[in-house]
Amino acid sequence: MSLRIVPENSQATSFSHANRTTSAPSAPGVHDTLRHGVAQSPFDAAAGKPSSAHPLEARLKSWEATQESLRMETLRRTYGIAEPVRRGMELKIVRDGEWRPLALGGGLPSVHEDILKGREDMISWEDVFTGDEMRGVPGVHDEMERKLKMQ
Amino acid sequence: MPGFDFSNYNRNAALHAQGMPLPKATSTGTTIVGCIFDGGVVIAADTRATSGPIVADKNCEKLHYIAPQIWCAGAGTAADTEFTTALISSQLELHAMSTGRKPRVVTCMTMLKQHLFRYQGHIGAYLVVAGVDPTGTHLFTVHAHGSTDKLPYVTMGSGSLAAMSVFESKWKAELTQEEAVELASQAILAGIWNDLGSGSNVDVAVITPEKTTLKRNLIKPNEKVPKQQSYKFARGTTAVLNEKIIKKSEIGRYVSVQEVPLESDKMEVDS
Amino acid sequence: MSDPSSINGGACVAMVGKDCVAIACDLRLGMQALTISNNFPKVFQYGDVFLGLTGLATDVNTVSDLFRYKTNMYRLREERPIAPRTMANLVSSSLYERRFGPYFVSPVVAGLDPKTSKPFICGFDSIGCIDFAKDFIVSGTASDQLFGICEGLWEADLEPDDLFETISQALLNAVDRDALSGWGAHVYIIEKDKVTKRLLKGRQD
Repeated sequence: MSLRIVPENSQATSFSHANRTTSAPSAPGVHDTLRHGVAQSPFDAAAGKPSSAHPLEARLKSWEATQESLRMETLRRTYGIAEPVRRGMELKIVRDGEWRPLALGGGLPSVHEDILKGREDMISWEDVFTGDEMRGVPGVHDEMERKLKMQ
Repeated sequence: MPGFDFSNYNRNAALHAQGMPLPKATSTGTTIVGCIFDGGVVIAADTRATSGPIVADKNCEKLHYIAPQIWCAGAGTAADTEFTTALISSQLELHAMSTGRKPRVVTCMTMLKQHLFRYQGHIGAYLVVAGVDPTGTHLFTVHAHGSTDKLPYVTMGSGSLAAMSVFESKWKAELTQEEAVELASQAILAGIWNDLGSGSNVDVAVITPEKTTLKRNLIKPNEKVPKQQSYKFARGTTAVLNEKIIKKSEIGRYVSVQEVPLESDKMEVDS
Repeated sequence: MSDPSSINGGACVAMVGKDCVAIACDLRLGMQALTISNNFPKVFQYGDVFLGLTGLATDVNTVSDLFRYKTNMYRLREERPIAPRTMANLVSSSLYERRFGPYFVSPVVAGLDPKTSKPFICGFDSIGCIDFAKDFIVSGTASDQLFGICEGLWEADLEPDDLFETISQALLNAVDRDALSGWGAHVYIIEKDKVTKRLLKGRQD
């Protein structure tokens, strides 16, 4: 465990469209809009990964996680492992206790999660640009099937 | 993933790699200054926005509201200064509501520098932050990479050298409000005349513990001379091949709006 | 090679008149020096608001469809058509979302405020900086020419018919000195109770 303040530079210097999973078998490398919507669905394996070779993107995407792990590591060193474990459990309880269908726009964390993370009085571009309208939204049945591991 | 959308970046980079220059964003070439006086602080800006050598906007606003007693002057990429100050303004308001205290200038400056540092200078906002809070009068500059300065008089933007020359020769400690407004305006005027990226009018904001006064277009040294004659064309000059008039009153022909009769007794389902 | 926003060519201009606004665009779609189409309008209507889009044609199509979707969603949610000033902020924030991978378009918004009927026009750069103007807005490959001619021809409080002549002559003469735009023009004159759309005769070379 480290005390990193900013994410390490993990940006890929090259980027390939060929290994995207959202293309049709007949046209590998090309995003299939009919099957996958205008943009990535949150279920795509690539959803959390950088979609470009821009030097900032990987940094921004792992920014919050880095800050969170720094906070947890500091807490561990001060109070012992019990403190970050307790906080992690609280976060998990809050996340599991609430479910909003993605079809209704589930881009943002809930207010409870924000309070536990100490972010309830903060606003950043991630809160403004949710990307909901461009994303291919999965149907509620699709989502339930995945949630209940039927698929 | 929420946040900025990078999905066009690879395409744009590929075009760029083929030798195409990427289009210029509007920049606020700009002279902006700030100056502390006895009992407050004044910030001032010119009003020219440029896109390369073209004057894109002759009277734009470069003084941005953050909080009632905290204002910001922005130089650099125009969209970045606009959106960064708007976001930090919202964040400061949330913070003020959460703590139940009036926002402080250092808080604003810290939020700005942390935000800009996170973006590694890719957000090209160069800002002068000024304000009065319960701890006193403050004046800061924030650079795009996240470094900050705290000085009694500051200048930024492409006209900063011209403006600083005025401050360096005329500034003195313990200025009155009128002297500070005059000095800041003179510094902006130096930028307007001597820097091509700056021009048009002088905007000034005076912040004191009591109130903030925004003096939009305090000095207008570059008014367009009115045309002596009209260049109106005679009606019918332009050859028209086809004309279609859509009247609002005729929209009813395409869309019919019908009031649903609401009789109160029929709506009572339970009775 | 030239920059992406001048591959396809095109020009757009908006002007304020007396209780009316005008927005006009040329009709060319090209690939560098080769003209592909002389019927590629760049002004789009969303309710009572008009959006002019110049730049890379693929992005003109994408962005115009994106805003059709967004304004339709707005109308469903709010149960009223979008106002020009709201549209301006929607365009601005949508473009800024792609700050690090922009669309190569420079939009122009024109319309009348639905409450006060005051004219409203504004322009944007490709990353969403709004340019609020009281007189005129230009964009596209002929923007240098349009800047000059509009500074010369525009005057305050033009009646709708005079505004039509002024904006038409400004656009036609500007695109005649730009190889990448022209091939006819569409002009919209927007008044409180009606919109007049005219197709202009322009040079086809």
